[in-house]
Amino acid sequence: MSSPRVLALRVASFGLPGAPPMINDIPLGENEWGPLRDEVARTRITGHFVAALEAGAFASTDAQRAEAMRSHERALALDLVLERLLVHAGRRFDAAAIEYRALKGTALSHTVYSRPELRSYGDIDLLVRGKQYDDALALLVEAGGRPHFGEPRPGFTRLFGKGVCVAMNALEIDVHRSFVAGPFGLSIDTDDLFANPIAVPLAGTEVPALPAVPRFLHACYHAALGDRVARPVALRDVAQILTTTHLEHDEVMATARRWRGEIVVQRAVLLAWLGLGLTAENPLLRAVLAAHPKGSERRALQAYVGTGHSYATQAAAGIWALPGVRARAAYASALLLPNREYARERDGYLARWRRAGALVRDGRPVR
Amino acid sequence: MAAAVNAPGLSPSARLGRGEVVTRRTHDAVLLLPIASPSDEPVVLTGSAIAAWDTFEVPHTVDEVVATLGHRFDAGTETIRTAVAPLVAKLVDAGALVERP
Repeated sequence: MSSPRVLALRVASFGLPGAPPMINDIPLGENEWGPLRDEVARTRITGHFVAALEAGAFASTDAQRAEAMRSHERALALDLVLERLLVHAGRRFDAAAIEYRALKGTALSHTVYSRPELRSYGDIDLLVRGKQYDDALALLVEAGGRPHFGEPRPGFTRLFGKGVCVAMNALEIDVHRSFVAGPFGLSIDTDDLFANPIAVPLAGTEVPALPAVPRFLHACYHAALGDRVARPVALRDVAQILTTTHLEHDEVMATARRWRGEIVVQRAVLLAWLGLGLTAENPLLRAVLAAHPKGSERRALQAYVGTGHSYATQAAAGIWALPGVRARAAYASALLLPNREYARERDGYLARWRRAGALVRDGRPVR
Repeated sequence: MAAAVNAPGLSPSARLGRGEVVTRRTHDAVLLLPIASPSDEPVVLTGSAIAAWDTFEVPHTVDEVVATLGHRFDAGTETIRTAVAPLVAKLVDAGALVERP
């Protein structure tokens, strides 16, 4: 009997080159079906699940198939509501001359998948420039949004942070300044992310999104660093781009090197290939695996995935990714001496920082 | 008697095309959500309603759509019009179809 996670990974690999063509040939019993159905819905891979059911690659009873279709339609209905929110937010940003890029699900579903129905999502992700970050956030607040967390000091996120999640009624917009918090987020040249956007046609308008190389790298950062255990959909995104999009691997690896994130790309690709059970050869895969990330990158990775990792360890490790004494001093003082409200909202804030400091003290992870 | 498209202010000769709408498709349904809609519930089209929606990818009058679907389904004009008219009225009301030049 396979766990729901293992089956969900097989479902997420369906249709990829080198993936097993058959997932199961006998309908699951109710003790396996129920947990899998819930896992598929929770991890937002109903599109791949229905595709596998329709292709006969996942044997099911009529009742199971009907349940899967209903679950998929609920996922698609949420996708539409989120896509409408994206169009409205984009129009507000355009009217205020705030440059933005759509990230992750909304952009990927229309660019790297053959049909948007294959890639569902649970929120909207928008990237804005650091210098326009505060204005973008103010605009969303004016539209009724409520940021989930404050900042340790005013202006911290605009300079150093990943971004913030903004609740818009029952929906959420993640407003990003960078892909991740900590050293890997601080090492990204965010100007790269605003060059040569592609246009995603949506409801008679065009939504700007990342071009191919940053899009792939973002998928890698999300898969490698986004969650303690990588989500099937994040692994599928990496494999989907790698197997269906032409990418110049020299450009991919040169950009990753410049961002000091070769190890992030390596980890993401390995997780995707192993997690999804892929066997297909791929030139970019070979180039990624042949890279030799610096020891400093390996140490930085520990702040994200090592024992005792936390937001605090990532933030503490980030100090070494910043150029110059002044930036480091501003970063450290904001985190060590946050405003009272920020510290009060986080029980044990200073204790976590002491632990994080001890973990990274000898590391100087990134530079 | 021919069924009329019961949408206020809409002339019978009006050419209709898709409005600002986001869509998803399953093997047997099309889900539509107009951008201006206050509802979070998508309009769900099934069966021949999908064929009608597909025809409006390029702006058409209702008469043109009725004729196209009549040929496709080998059905009489009035039968098709009876099915299409309330659908068009619903889509115009939702903002999924709008007048086009």
